[in-house]
Amino acid sequence: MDKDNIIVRMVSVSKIYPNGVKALNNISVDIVKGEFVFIVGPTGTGKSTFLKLINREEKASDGRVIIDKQDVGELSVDEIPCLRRRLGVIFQDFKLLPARTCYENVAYALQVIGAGQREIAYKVPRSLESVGLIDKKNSYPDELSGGEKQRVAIARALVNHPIIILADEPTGNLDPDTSWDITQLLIDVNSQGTTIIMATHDKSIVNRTRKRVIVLDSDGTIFSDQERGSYIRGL
Amino acid sequence: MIRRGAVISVDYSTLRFFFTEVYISIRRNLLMSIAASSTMMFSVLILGIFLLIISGLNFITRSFITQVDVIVFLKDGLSEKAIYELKNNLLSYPSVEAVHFVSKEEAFKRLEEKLGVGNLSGVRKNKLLNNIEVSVGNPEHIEEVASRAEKLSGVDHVKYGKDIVDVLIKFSRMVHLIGIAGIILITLITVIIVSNAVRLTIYARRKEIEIMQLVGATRWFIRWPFILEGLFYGFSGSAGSIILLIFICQLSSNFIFEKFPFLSMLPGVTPLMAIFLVFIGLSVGFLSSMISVGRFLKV
Repeated sequence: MDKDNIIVRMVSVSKIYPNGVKALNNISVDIVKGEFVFIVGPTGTGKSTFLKLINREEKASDGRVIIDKQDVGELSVDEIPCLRRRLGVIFQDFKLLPARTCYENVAYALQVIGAGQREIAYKVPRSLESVGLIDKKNSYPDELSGGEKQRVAIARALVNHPIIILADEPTGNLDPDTSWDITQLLIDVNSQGTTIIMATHDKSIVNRTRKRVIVLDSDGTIFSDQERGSYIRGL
Repeated sequence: MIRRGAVISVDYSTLRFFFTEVYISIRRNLLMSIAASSTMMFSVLILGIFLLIISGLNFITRSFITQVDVIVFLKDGLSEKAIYELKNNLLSYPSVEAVHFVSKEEAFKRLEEKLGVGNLSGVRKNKLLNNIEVSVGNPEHIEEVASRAEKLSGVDHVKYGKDIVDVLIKFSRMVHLIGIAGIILITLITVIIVSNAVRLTIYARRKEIEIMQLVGATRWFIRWPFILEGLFYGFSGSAGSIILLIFICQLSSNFIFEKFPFLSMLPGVTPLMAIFLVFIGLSVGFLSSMISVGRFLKV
């Protein structure tokens, strides 16, 4: 593994929530730039926590989380937004704003970080085009199918050219065909160099793509970490 | 590398974004916005009515106090020079504002007028004394002036409404104290009530806040539209309450002047009071938004 290319490094990381739940237990992982990694495991094994540690929604109780050579545990509250501007996030429930059109939803991600009109007018159509939704730019989320909503969410995640995309069960609310389309889209994004870390339950997707698979155990440890892995153990 | 630098450059497009957000938020949550603004209006109105009562009481006590001056009665047979020196002596006290000599004859004339009888000539005019009326600027110094004047040669005795001055001064101090305590209390209660109303409008937009945080908006960037919204409620609410106050003053003054004509000089809503109420409204709006949005800001 090329050390200079490591984009996510977790060193002996544990996360215990204030209510005593131990989500992650002394895990160490390296993820290289441009990788596509599945995080799998039964419900409650800390898949979401794994992603939240990367964008500093949560702070590790123990150990170090290093993103692009920066220890995110050392970031002050004012520095966290800078980290998040370099990451894209997508969720099972899409997290789109219902009262805004597709275009406005994507533009919103640029507006709130203080981007100018010209930058927005340049980036938003390109981002929508890359997910194949430029024709629906004036539609509201309620007028879209589940797969289309997730595409808008991906366009929003991509618009700021992130170094990593964190996907938390992005196909959880979608039918199998649409799930596969969304996964294909993420594979396309990955092929252009963006690192993708995707937490999922979806056995068929994991087995069909043959990417790296990190399996978390119910005690919060890493059960297995395989290149070109599959969804094992009937989890 | 991740660098620090989450500072917003407040340029035209950012400002436009803020104001558009405020406009959209108020329009989309119109009922809640009206509720927040009305809550603000009634809270500031209560503060305003309280201020009017306090300033009215203050005005009345002050005007009573200034009517009670020190009267220095002079011994009979003082020369004009002696009277002149006494006047100058009294005027040299720092707290004395003016002195006015009242001769026996003038005192008699005043008595006639006061009693409303035509001619009292021949009626024990010699019982009256020449006197000097002394106006004291600060009522709290009346007692000191009186006791000093009493010791001057040529002075027969000194009169002032000691009891009433004491009572009025105590009353005026109490009015001040209640005023300040009341303003602080009502303002605090207003912050609590209004911040709950504002929280409802922010709650309606918690998803926006969550997304803003996820895509890397700074905490201040997230706060500003809500603060502007709070300032808007503060301004519109306090402006509304001032209009209502002026209306209330107009209505009540007709009634009051009819019954108590001497109160016709009562100060109504002064420009200073209006500015104060707007300032309180804006401060409460700002604080309420800061408190409420803080509850929805995760790290």
